[in-house]
Amino acid sequence: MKRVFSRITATILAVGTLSACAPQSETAEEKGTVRVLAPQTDSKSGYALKTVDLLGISDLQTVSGKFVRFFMSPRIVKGKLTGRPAVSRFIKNQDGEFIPANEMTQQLVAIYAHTQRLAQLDDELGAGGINTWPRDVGVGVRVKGGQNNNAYYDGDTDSMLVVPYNQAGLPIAINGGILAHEHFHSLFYKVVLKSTEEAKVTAHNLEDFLESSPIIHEELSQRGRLKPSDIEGAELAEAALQKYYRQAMLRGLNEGLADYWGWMYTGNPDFIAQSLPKEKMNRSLDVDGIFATYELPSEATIKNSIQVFYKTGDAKKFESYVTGYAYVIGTQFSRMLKSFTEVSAKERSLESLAARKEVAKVILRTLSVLKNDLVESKDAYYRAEKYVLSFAKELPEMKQAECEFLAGVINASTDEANTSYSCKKNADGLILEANTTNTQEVM
Amino acid sequence: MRLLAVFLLLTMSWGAWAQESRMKVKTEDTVSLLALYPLAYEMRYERGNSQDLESRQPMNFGLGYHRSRYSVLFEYSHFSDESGNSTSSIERKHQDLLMWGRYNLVAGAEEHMRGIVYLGAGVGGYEEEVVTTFMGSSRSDKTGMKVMGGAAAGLEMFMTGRYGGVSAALEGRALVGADFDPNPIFGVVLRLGLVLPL
Repeated sequence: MKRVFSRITATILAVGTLSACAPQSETAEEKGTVRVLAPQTDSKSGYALKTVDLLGISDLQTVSGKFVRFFMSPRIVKGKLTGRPAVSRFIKNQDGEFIPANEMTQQLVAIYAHTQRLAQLDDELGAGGINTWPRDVGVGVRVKGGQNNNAYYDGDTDSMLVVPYNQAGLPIAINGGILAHEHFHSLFYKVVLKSTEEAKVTAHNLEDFLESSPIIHEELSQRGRLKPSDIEGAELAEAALQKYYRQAMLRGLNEGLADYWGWMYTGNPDFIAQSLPKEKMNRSLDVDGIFATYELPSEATIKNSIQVFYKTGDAKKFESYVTGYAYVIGTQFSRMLKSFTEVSAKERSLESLAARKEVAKVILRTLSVLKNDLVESKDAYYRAEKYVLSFAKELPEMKQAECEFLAGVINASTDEANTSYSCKKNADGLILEANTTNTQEVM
Repeated sequence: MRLLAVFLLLTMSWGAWAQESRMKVKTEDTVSLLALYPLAYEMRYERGNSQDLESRQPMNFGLGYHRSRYSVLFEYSHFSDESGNSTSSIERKHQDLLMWGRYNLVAGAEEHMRGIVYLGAGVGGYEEEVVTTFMGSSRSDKTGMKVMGGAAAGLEMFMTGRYGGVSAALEGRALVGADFDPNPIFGVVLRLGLVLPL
């Protein structure tokens, strides 16, 4: 027996030796620029598998580096994401490229590659320096209630959180448009919302995320046709109306401009529907056919909608209706901006991508104006036409067709029947000018 | 630190074996068997797409030769693991071929029954292929053959007659390879075999 025990001991030690001698994975040694296979999009050919150089990799096993740091199913502790890193699995093919060997690794690689491109885009568009790097990204995020198929930006932790995707479409973690959309939220948060009272209620936080389900949009489409006077009951008091109006407008602009960012990045007006087909009707930026509208929500329309939501729902539903309504407002902004970009591309003889980038630069410049006009201003009701006027001011050397388009948008969106906008040339070039004469003259 | 740990473990395991070299070991009656293991149920635990340890059940088959206290086994295993959805999916196909050398720690026989408790070490190669399918197009990438090794401990029962017999074995094992996660991978094998006395 003694002999047997000794040999068992020897075997255990030998197995220990085996473990200690276990060869290291090739991914453990990779640093710097690493060539990987990833599904990527470009604005001309759409999505395809491509070999991409991931830059600034410090640890390929966790796909972390200069641009992204991943957390697997993280928790939020003291305003920071905490948790274990996601662990990748690659094979190295005979060309020396690293091939993701499971879906999670593919998603890590895709997010890293898109984030690295978005960082370069930030620099190109004038937003370099707004964000800090690496970005924190949570994957496989578990949300109360087990919600799937979404991503959101959390301003408190300055992180993007991706929950599991269980539909048949393009996984959200691979969808460059949705990643660009969330990336824009980080810019909006830092330039417009951070350190303001609105930050908590207008950023994507967990509660908003849970409440902004697509069902809300369906409810809204029916409720939007009602007027407050059609429904019995007390109306929302003025102070509360102002609060919710401001909230809806801020959220709407945040969502609408983020949707524009997704289109700017991918060139696909239906980038959300690629992952979430049910959202096509609500969120498509394709304004051809029945969606052709350049009208932004007027002050009266937004007030009317908020009052209707208040009078028809209970307190909890009311909040979620206002959140959902922000997406409706946002889509109107993003569709308008897309139409404007097409006009601009034609007028300036630019390719679509170049035109989208030029408009994106203008949007970035409007953000600091937005902080003054909407967040810090004491104006009770920020109107959509004010944003259009800010946008026009930031536009370099506005062209005639661009000016006429924007004048048309304001005239279609304002509540003031006796005021219309037209284009006037002065020493600085074309400007939008308000006329308190007959609107027929402008149109 | 790693090197030191390896050195210590090697020294200690060599020492443990060395102690036994002074003892006289009673030799077992000569046994010579050819064994075919067409059906084996194997489970390996490796990190999966969920990031947790997931079990894989490779198709496993082996051919062995048993002679007294020693045996040699050639074993082929294959499994695949698929993750993703109909738009984007990844299938990883793993196959390996190992040659195991085994030594019987304990052996006992009674009439047509024979039981052994053994230790084994294996060396061989593996190859992984990843088939990436994305939006209707797909491509395949391979690692090429890579070296792997393993250590095992198990017990096996033989029931033999004049012209043949059957065997059943249960084995625990650790496999090492560059791309394995964790490394080593632990697993178990349940083998049923056909035995031909030579």
